[in-house]
Amino acid sequence: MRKGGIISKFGIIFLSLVIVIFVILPLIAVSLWAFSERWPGAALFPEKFGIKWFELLISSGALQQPLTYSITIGIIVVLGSAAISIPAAYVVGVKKFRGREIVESLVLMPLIVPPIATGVGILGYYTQMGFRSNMWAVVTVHMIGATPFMFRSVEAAFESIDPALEDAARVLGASRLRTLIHIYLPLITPGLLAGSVFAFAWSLNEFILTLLVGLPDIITLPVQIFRYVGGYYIQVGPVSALSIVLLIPSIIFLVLSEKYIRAEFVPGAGVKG
Amino acid sequence: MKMKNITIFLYLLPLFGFYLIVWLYPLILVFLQSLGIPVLSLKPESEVYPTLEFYREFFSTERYIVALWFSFWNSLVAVIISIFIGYALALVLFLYEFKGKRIINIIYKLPLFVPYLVAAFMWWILLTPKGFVYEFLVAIGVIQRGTPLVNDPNGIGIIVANTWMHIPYVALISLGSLKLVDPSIVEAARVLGADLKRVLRHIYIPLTMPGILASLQLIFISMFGGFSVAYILGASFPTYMSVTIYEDVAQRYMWSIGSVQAVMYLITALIITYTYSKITRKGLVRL
Repeated sequence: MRKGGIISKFGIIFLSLVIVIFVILPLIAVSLWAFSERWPGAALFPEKFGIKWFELLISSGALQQPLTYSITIGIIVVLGSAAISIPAAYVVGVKKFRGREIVESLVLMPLIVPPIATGVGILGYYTQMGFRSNMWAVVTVHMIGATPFMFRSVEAAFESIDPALEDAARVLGASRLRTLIHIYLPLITPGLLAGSVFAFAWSLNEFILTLLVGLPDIITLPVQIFRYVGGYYIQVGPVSALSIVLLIPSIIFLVLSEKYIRAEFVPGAGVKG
Repeated sequence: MKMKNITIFLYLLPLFGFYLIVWLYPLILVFLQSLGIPVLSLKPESEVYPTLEFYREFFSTERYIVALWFSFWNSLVAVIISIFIGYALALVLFLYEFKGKRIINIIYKLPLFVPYLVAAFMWWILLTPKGFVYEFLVAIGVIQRGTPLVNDPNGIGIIVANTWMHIPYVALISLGSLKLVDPSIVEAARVLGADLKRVLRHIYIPLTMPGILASLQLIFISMFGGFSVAYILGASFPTYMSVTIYEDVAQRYMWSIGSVQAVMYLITALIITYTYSKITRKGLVRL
């Protein structure tokens, strides 16, 4: 039944081509800019390619520190969100207690409330506590958005496990902790990995809350980009180079998630399998 | 094995404790500040408090009302375009076998992990005069030279970048639900002589659309509440409410009016989510 249809073969190829161009065009343009050495105003393409902008970023120190912060914070966010998500995901996914659906939808709330709305409160609150321009402050605000993804992935993994396994282990005398470590942990690893990819990606890309609580000292890659584009004059070369640095992990995540991605893990999608 | 309620509570405590302290408490402070109570600002911003003065200011200031309305319609346009393109893409990928399908299957997901800020910047390069897309559109006569596509009062740049960011989500969700359609229904229709057009109209679209629309509410909300795309590609007026909040609070330290905007933004987001799930008759919970 897959043969023939409302559009011709040519139509399909044309449509796919348009979509592909639409999707990759921005990446091509930003790459041209990032690797351009000389690009006169009238020319359609750069006259000379090179790594001038990357050298400029490194020699001015605009890349190293933000990159280090982004990666360090990302790792801590993954660990932190996993630590608070696993116990909750366990009871929600395995124990059929009343109100588990309420818990599930409450966890999504932070994705519904515009981050800037929370940001106003966090900015004032952290400022009064002297908790600004601090790496741990940035970690907490990243965890707000990263945790729902971690929770959902891990919870989906817990849900797919046969609860009889736990009963069997408990009957044979294993403690709850032992059951968790020896029975559940190996089984939820795929969910945990998927959650980690999303949590790390969220942290790497989080921008507005980082801008509010991180400045002046904690500058992550997106904040660094913002410092170049947020003003009246956009410095296209350096920003393009920085964008490439952020796009590389994005593509790695895409490849990684090709293995794990399912509709229920997709950020922004309220679908559950 | 049954668990005691108190044990369940203890397992949930780290997660909820975290959100209570880092998320809910700041939101409560925002609400109090919106009434003029100086919990965020260092000193009171009105003579007496609590007061509704700042809410009055909100409703009587064009800048704020326009910002709220602009965020709403602009995101809505982007969502609608994303749904059309994303669903069409999903249908093509689902119904047809063709050369290069595997590559397209990977390429269309590229925007999934691209940071909003980077996406906004990339589209800025393309849509600004001398950018590839701008020059192309001028060359084929779609726009006249001088028509702005970025930082324009209609937010065209914002719509394009938001659409680009969200097509993969729509396509992924659509593909997921297309695959859930029972093939025997389609088989039956085909045996009875329905062509693909009719199968689409009477089986695939009615069976998949409600679920897809229901799961798209978070996409709308993420555009509606988003900051980077609107800030980079938007004009100074009208602009998204996220931008006016940022300007008022982070740059002018006007905490109370900033908080009122935050509260109104939040309430609108909740109302939209609630109404939306009513319309699509499937709540967030039951999906």
